[in-house]
Amino acid sequence: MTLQAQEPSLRGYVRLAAHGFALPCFGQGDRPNTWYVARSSPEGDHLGSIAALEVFAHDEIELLPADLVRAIRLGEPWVDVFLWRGLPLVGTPLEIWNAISANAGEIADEAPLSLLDLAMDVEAPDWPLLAKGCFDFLESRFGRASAGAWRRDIYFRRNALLAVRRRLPETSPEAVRRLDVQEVGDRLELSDPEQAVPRLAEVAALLESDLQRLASPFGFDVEPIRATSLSSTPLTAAPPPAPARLSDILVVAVGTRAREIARHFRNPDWTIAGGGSQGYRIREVTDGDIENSDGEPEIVIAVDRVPSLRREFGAVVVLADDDIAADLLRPAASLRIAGLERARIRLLAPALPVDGPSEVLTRPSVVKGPFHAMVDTSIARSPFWSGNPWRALDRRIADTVLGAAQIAASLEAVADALTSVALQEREPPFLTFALDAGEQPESGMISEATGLPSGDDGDPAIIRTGFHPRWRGERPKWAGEGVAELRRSGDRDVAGFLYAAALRAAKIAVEAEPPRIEGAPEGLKSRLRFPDLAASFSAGAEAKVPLTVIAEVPDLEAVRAANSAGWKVARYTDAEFIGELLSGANEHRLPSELRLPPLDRRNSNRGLATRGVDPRDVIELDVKLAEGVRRGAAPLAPEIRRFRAAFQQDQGAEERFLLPTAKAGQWSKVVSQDKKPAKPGREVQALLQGKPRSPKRPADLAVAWSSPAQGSMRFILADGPIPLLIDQLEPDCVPAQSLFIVDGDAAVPALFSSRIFQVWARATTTRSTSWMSRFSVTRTFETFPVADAFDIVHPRAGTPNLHFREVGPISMAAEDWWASISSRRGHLRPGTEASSVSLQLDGRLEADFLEVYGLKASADDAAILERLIELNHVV
Amino acid sequence: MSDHGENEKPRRKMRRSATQPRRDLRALAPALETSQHLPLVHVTAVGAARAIIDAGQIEKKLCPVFDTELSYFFVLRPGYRLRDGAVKSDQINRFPSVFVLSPEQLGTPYHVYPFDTGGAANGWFEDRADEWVNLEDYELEPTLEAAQRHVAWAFPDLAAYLEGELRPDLGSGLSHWQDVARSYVSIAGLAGSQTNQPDRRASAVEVAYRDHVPLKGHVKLAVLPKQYLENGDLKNAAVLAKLQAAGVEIATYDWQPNSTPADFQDEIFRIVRRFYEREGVL
Repeated sequence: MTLQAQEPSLRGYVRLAAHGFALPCFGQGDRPNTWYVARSSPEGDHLGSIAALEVFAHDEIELLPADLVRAIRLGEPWVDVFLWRGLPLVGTPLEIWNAISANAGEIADEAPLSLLDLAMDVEAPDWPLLAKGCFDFLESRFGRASAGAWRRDIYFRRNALLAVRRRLPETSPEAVRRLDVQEVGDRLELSDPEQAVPRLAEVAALLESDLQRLASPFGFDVEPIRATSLSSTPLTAAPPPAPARLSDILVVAVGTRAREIARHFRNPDWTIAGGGSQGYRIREVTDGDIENSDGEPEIVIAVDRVPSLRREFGAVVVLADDDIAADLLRPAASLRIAGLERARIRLLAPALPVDGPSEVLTRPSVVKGPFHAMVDTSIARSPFWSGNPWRALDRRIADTVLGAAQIAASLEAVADALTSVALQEREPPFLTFALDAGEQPESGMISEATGLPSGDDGDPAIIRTGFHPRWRGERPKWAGEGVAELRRSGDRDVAGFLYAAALRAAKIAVEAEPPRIEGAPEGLKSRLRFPDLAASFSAGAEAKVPLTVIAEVPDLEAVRAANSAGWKVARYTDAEFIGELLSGANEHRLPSELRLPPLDRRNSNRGLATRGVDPRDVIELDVKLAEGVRRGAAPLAPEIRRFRAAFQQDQGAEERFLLPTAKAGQWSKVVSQDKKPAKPGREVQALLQGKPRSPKRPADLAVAWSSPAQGSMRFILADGPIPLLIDQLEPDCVPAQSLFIVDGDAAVPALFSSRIFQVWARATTTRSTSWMSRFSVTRTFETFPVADAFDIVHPRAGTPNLHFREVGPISMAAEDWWASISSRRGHLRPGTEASSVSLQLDGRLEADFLEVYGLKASADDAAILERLIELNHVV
Repeated sequence: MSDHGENEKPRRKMRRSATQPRRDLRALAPALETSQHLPLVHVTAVGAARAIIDAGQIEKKLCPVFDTELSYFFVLRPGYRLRDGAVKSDQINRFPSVFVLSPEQLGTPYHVYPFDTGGAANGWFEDRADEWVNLEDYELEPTLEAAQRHVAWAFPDLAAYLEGELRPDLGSGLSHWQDVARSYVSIAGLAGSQTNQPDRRASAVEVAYRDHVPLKGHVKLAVLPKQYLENGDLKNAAVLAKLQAAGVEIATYDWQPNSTPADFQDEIFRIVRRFYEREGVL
């Protein structure tokens, strides 16, 4: 099974029946030797995109006539072959629908089920009638039971699962298939008995409307997926707020992304001076719990609901996912927040997507809906961010939303402008602010949405005003005076911003600024969702490599398109990649920020990598105390382990030991019955103070205290660095949480040191705006496809371990290589760190590993990653 | 169903025996009183299913492993392989169809094996099989009772057998000299969820007959793509209507060209499991 570097065309099909959808087959040349079938994302969605190709062999592939052959590319919309009277039609559902519409009546009589699939995909106006027609067709021919089975198992189930896949595209297909769809009387019920889709509740309201659409042709109602849903209880007018106190603020978060961000709302670090209070408290409300009982100023957070209100707020902010935000702006919005119009200040804060810009912020809107302004949440991603630099993206967005709400609620000048001048703007203006202590405080207010002021359009500010933030504690070093701005969203020089931001992110000095160049490869642009948001400049050694920085995270196809034109592409925030490229290093690497398709977690990999112990689950003993415990509590002696605190061992430091808190606690209870407990007992009791009684991460603890299965060694892998740092763990040692445990033979250090795993680790690492990159058990290790040359053994008792499947030249070469590493490490001078011995595989072994993954020795990083993604999806 | 007669990629095949087979697996299964035999399942590609429906019977075919014309079934489990998209597997994977039969009127099987012999002969289980154990050594007594007794020995219950989950302690009571049984346990483990190459054929009990098996009177459930219910293939629709009149239940799954083989397999498993639950088998 392989992925073609050069995409084939749709050239043939295998018919299932004489009519309806056939299996589209792809190949190169007029009579392809190798055929492929495509995988769609989401699975089974005719409106999805082509996510991957798989080799396919079948005796009955029929060639399409030359005029129907169609070139395809990964990432493009899915293309179908639909047969009618044995003849093929090719295209997207809409194209096919248009082609057959003249025969629709005839098809409805003979192949209504196939026609319904198409009609639902193109939202044909009479699809509900067709659905009912399918039931009648089946009932008249095969009886009511068969018709009922079709409605339940195919019509309801397939379309309900498809709705879930569309709403939660990152959920694995296996998890979605574990959902239950049932008819309960005349009600349709979607449930998750195995709790397979944890985020189902987040999209419950949206899914219920999808299900209602399905249920309506049969007059069914829909069972609520969860108890709470968006309520439309109106915001009621109330007495004006008392003066000399901070105005209360209401934030309504709607949508999946908004919910993620809403988890990060905290009491603001600052308030606007003159408010006459110590600051806000933050409160998430549940139904009916909206009264402010003690009158202290508060920020009320309502997630996915609008509570019943009895008082007025200084500002209401709706934090909404992009699609919901776009809908809210429309005059005939399908989601209405009843009573919102009566709130004094109404702001819309688009929930900034992780992978790319907000459409609502970057594509000018000519409608404003019920809002006075939009909060520019994308300043949170800018390298010029003027807030707390240690915070991660979602927390920055949350800070931005609350900061903007405070400014709107407390700064009269801003509130006045919002309710007067801003109303005359055709497009919704942006509300933004900065707290920068630097020389150009306004740089914190520019973003991928506002760009740099273009200069042609005059000053974009409707109003700009300073403010004095009053800090809850001491003023942080990075913070200065505040400046707030209400600005028009007119002309924007986003390219100028991207260029400046990329250099800032990569910490390039002004005098070393590379020359800007015009344009970008057309092939690349056609792969981008925001092709206009791009800036190009010369990078690489001697400024010979043209680089386009864009506002979205590129996917592999975009990278391929750029590379094939001799260019590089990266998001402007990809400091690591841009920095390396500008310094002329490593021009063959993939961008660090790369958008991957959803990855499957592989059952066989479960338990292969385990984090070291959580410090809350153990107590740390020094040599003396460990000795004391051994002497004073014989049953505990076997539980004491040496502590490997970090990958780089501190040679001068005294050895430390660990004991699980649960075991130590049991002993401590016995000791406490002594009237005069011995010193070790008292010391252990002191160490147990503040530790949880039952382990926080019992599974990790159990693995750390276990021995590897017979025939396996135990290795530790440091979290984050690439190339990986790997060492064999000595017996009776337990590693710290910053290390991963993997058991097995020489396959472990060899495979995890290989280029293959490095590429995977780099692409799947969790990245943060503020902290170093980290591996994750689920994302880095459980998704990694282990080739058939290796075996993950799951012993009935003990930890899973990774081995070469058979003894052969590769396993022997790997063992020799690891033996030589171990030997060189064994001969290091005292005080020299194990990691000073390079773990690089020799070229032959690297090539062998590439081969077992079906790759050529010359494969570049993009080819490796493509192959791994493909293998990840192999069941 | 199974890989009989298919030329998949070369592997180390399980050898045929030149000497008297040992068959010590037979002695392990407990005595069992059964009033009813477990249903049999025939899995095939839609193209072959069309021929079956046209002919009104599951026809025996020359099996190159045993050099005899045979019709093949698995006990209870709709097992087919998803991995290694090798030549003919693609056809079943992308276009599966399933027939569930009652074996009561079928007479005595030609043979009963505890796994798919076609897969074994093609080397699919080579990584797990003891190379000194020959194919015939695994053969169970050629009766449906023996198949049922074997399932009762190797699996905690029928639901676990359906999923391929062996008794967790199955291998622990075996002595070293019981190498046929030990090798079986190792092969059968491939069907469980604890492996990175799950293959539901590895512990699906195989039953072969020397006769054609007519659909009428034997087949209880046919699981086919939903398009079979439409009129576009008039002949199929007519045969299906006749089958249904003869008491065959027709269940359909949602065949979409952009669903994965795993999706089809899951849906078919769901349909077959529910049928068994309703019929009181599970």
